[in-house]
Amino acid sequence: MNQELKQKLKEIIAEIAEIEDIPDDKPFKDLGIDSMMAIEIITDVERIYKIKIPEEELERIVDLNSVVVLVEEKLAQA
Amino acid sequence: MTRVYVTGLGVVSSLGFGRENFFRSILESKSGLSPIESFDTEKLGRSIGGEVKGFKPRDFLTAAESRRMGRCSAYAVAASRMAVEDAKLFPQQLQSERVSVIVGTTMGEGDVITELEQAWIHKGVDAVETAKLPRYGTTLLPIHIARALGARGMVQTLPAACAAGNYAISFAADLIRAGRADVVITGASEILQQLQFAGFVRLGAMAPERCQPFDKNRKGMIIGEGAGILVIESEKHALKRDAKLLAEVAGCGLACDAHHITRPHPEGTGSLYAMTQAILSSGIKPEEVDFINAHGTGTHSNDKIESYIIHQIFGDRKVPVSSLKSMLGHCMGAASALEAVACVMTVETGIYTPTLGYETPDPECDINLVADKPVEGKAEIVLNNSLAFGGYDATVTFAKPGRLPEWRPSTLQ
Amino acid sequence: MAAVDSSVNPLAITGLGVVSSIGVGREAWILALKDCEKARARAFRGAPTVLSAEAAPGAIAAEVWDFDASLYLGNKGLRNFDRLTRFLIVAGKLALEDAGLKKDGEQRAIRAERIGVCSATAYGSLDSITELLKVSELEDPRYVNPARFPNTVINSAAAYLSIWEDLRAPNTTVVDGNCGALDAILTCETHLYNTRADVFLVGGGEILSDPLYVAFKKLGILAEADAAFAPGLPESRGMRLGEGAVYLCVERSADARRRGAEMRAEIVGYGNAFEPPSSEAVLVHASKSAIQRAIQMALQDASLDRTQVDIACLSANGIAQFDRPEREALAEIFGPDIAIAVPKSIYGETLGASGAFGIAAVLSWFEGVPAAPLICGAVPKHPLRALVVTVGFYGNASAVVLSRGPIVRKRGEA
Repeated sequence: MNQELKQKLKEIIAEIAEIEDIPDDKPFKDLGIDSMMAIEIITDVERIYKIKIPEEELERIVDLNSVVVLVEEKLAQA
Repeated sequence: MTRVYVTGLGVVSSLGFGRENFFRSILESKSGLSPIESFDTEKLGRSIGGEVKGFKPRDFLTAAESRRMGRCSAYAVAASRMAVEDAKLFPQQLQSERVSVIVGTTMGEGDVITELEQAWIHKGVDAVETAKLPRYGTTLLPIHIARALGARGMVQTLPAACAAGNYAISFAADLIRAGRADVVITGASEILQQLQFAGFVRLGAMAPERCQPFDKNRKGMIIGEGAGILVIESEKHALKRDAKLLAEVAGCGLACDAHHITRPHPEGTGSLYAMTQAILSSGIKPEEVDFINAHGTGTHSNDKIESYIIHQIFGDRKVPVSSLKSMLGHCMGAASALEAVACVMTVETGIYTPTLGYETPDPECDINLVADKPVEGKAEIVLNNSLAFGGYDATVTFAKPGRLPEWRPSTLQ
Repeated sequence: MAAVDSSVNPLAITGLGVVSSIGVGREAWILALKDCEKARARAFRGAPTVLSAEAAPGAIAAEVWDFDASLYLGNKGLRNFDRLTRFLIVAGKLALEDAGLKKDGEQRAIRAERIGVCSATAYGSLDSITELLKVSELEDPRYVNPARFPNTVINSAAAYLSIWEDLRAPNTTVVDGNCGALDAILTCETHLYNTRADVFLVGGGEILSDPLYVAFKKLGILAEADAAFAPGLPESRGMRLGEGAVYLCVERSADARRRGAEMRAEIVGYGNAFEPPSSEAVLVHASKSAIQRAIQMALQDASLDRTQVDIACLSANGIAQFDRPEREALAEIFGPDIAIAVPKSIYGETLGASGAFGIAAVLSWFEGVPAAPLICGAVPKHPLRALVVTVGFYGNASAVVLSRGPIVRKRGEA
């Protein structure tokens, strides 16, 4: 797992969720990240990394690690 | 307190212009949804909308009018002219301080602001055309209508998101009941426009091809545009000029969820309250309601919660329900105004409007949906329901003239 | 003109919340107005920070300086609130607290289901629309932030206020240009009359933004550099923009009395009118007869004689084309002796919010603080009745009459 990417994604998510730290595998729903925030995270990530994450893959986003995996996958396809 | 009647209807919609064309298309179960032509949808991943095609402003507006207003106002003025013609109101009856204009919208002249900003963003501030600036402003909608008709009473825009039409109609009726106007031109207007379209797509709320309210496999909404305008007037004014009474504007219910900016309250508290108020403030009981023109956007959460509310109020009695959004798309601010026009025509004709795309019943939406084809039935009391962005809930009751009791309580507390 | 069979019982103002260029909160507002010159210097103290140097070089405008919503609302949950939303929530919260309806975030005296909002704005969140359009135009429409998208809808700021403060009665945004905030009073009266709620936050907000500034600048109506800014006076060469938000807590006077609330004033009359211009080619215009009709309707609604009004708070913003007919309308109704105040000379034109700012100025008078420069007449030591006028840019006008003590209202004939 790309640690630099992970750190950056962590910052993006922390900013949106307004919490200091995002643990690797703590479920987003337990961090108070709702569906609107999830879409916001996706929009930000798409914008920064110039990738496209289809709507139907939104449900794959459940915790920090899953976001990193998804973005790595899309970056590899790009 | 005076009764308030609808005496004229005007429509600009993807299903036709004028109330007869509009209602005929609905009864023929036609869809107004089509590929969007007015802006580029290529990057958006969605391309279908309830777009009004073939609207020529000059068919309805003078040259001076079409120069000074944007498309949203043009729809509104066109529909207003049709409505006063339908009401058989003469210019001298309209040129009065006792005639007001109260209309709703969400974005108003979104096209104008986009065009101005595009010039600024791409070519710099000097490229912004000064002459076009005064065309922007949500304030202008009722001003343009008032000028076109000669009305000189209150002019007001009530932008209550996707409940704007119902908000405007209920406030307009309030104004007449309070003795502050004899006639009000009311309703709402909305245009399809790229920023709004992109926003709804990004929210993940938009279906790819069809809007299937209350269906188990519904995929979201499709947005549309248009204008629905009603002429409403006091009983005294209407009777004095021997106007045809199409329907009575009875009680209304308004509430705010105070829960979330885009999602309805999970138990629909505000909407439940609004619908209950609309019934009780009409002086009737839930069992007297004959038909509900639902908000029915085709999104998972709206349809589920709306069904729950209907069930809460009507229990096991299966009151017929329908959603026009399957044909018109969600016309946002104008949605409940266009639906109000259909409600009035349901009261007039005794025909329940159909819902398209209903294939698989959803146990979470356990309602009596009027699917596919129109159905004839008792339509003395009809509810027009809406739930909107910001948790705005509004329900308006329309009734057959003479059907409602004389005395009406105000509202429950 | 047909008589108005409106209401009812008078409405009481029991709370005031202000976010302004001269201070935040009722006490700061009134304190600042004790010295109008100083207040004006503070409002126009320098180059506005919310306007960009590229879009608004040399701009003069009254900004809500150093506004920090987190001081009032805490740090969390504000991220996607735009400037207008922040203004409205802070002003609303302060008004509820001032009225004793909320303390430490808890509802007091009245349930959440019985408190609503009637809020005006003329242009809403133009800054948010611009921000999203820039992303859409320069990058990709897909990158439009979904959580900011609701801000483009004009009633969204007021909706956030209801959500933040948990106010579940109807929330109505009113748009009628500069007349919106006074019109919101009628909306509120109607809802109260129909017992849809017991208290409303009534008022509105407007913000400075690059697009708003550029539009007025291009239309050539701003008084900048050496151009005289003197609302209501013939030498004025244009207006200056301001911003801010004001909410009043409004309830039925009988209810306010019953709960022992302090009544800062009563709203006893409302009137409005619209007159089209004589030429089809004209859009922007002021109508003297509309202004007159609105004032006369408000006086009639209040069952007051013109001689009973102690102060008239003008809409005058420095644009001669609008100020002149307003003054003429006043002179024809009241004669030359009425005291005329021009509050916008202190904090600029706040457009949709301006009617609520006018009422906030009157409340200050009722507390013994002369709230705005007078351009004629004199205010009695203890003014009892005040008229607030707003004039729209399209021939629309509204007026409200406020009273410090109760007046017995005659019921009009239908």
